[in-house]
Amino acid sequence: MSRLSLCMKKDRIEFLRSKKLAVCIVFLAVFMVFVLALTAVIPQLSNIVSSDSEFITTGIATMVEFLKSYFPQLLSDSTGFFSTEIGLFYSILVIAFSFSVLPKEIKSGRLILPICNGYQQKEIFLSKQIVYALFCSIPAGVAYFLYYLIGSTFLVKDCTISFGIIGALATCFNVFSIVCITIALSVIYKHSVLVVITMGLTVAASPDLLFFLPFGRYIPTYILTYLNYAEIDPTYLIIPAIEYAVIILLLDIIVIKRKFAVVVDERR
Amino acid sequence: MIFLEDVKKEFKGNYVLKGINLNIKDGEVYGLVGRNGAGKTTLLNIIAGISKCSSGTCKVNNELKPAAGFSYLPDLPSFYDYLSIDEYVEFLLGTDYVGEKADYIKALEKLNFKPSAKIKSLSRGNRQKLGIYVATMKNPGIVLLDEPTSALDPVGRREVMELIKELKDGGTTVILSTHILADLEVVCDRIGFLNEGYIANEFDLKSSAVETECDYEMNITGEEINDEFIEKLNTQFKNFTVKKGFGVGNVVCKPKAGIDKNVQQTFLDEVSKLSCSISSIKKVSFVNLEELMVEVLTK
Repeated sequence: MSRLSLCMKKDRIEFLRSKKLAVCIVFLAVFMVFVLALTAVIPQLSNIVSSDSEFITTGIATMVEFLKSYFPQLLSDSTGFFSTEIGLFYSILVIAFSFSVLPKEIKSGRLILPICNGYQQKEIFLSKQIVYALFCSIPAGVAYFLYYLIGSTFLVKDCTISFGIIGALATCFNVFSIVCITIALSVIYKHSVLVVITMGLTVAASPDLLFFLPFGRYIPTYILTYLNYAEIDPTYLIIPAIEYAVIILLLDIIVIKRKFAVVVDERR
Repeated sequence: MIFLEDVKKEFKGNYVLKGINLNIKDGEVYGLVGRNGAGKTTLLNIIAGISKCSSGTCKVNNELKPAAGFSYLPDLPSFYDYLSIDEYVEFLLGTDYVGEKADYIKALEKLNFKPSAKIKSLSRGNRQKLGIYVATMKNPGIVLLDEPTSALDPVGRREVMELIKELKDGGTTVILSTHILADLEVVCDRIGFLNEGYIANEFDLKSSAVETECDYEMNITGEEINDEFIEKLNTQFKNFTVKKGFGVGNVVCKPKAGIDKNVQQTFLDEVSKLSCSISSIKKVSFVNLEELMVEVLTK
């Protein structure tokens, strides 16, 4: 076994035993059930809540129409909505999982013994990045595809299974990239809080701001926003994906070239 | 060989190390002593290559970076707590572990560790013991130990001292930083007092120039060295206080006050009256380091 695979084995055990994977799965399951249930219930609201008053009936109908715009009845729109929300809320969860994982190991001196035993910083870093990114992203992709399968049983099916597969892969890749970038930034930045601010703004605020820019749709965080149009125009998917890959590659090169500290080298 | 020349370390404008010159020979056990915050850990970090010095030269075996066969145990060893002990050993050893797994498991069990136990369940002392084990399990040529016995009970301390003796016998170079001066007296060849950023004094513990006290160590065979036996020896040795020593069958005979002249002859006279079988007798000279440390660091 190579040192990288030994490191990955150790990180896999750590991810599983610290129950991070369980938290990811529970979060996605609850989120999926919640969105699916609301999407299924909303069109039935006018039938469930009936009233003699025309005023109330009109009010409920208006509200239902309003809610339908949030929880669309077309399968493609509904999965698009689900993936966008994953891109926001689930991304925040995975950022929380990964922003301090390597800085904590450096601060506690946990890397000293592995380094003395021949491990290199790049092996420790790449292992952490690969394991955390895979374990966070695969459940998201699976959740998306499950959402597609369940949604196709009661929503207006306007897309093929390939749409579901591409969507799942894109969702998976988006989360994978966010975790990779978070871990890389966590060893480049001196303070972990800066990582949270950078990544928080990237996933939460930047899509809204960039929407107004002509090139906004090609920015990496928009990979999920225009997922529905990817079948018509693949550039919506390909360009952000390439950008994500380039950003990860550049950050990884910086980390590997610079070599992060093994211990915190400063006194108060 | 470890060679440091005018090594300085600055933290935010403050120099913790102001010019360290050190030359430690192969196979030597060097004790590093100093007050809290004197820079002992910083110095060890620099020697280990995990911290850079602000200026000066630090070479280990003529290399600027420590190569293979080098080990360092920090003062508060931190582990991957979610792993079990054997998983951690496997992680550190890599391919070396596969062929010799049974031997490593045996060694862990000998240290009273349950290999499948999670590291997070270990007490502070046991974590330190595990740290010492993993730092030395690959028989490194150079070992740096920062406060290795601070959390250990007397039995654990004795085991660690035995281990350092074994390393020394095997030709390993050891740098040992500790506040427990009795430990240094037992194993060190030389000690250095780190004070105000410099090695204020160095003492060769083998040299008669610093010899202030002298004990005799005997190795007795065919007897179980228990409290009863030690008491029996104490009644037979009128001019010495007998204590259990480090290692199997070893007892230490400390001269009582008033027999400063011709201690050796008195000792040999009393040994000749013993009925048990003695395989070796060794004169152990040491300095009272505590007195020496207070004198050096407060003057």
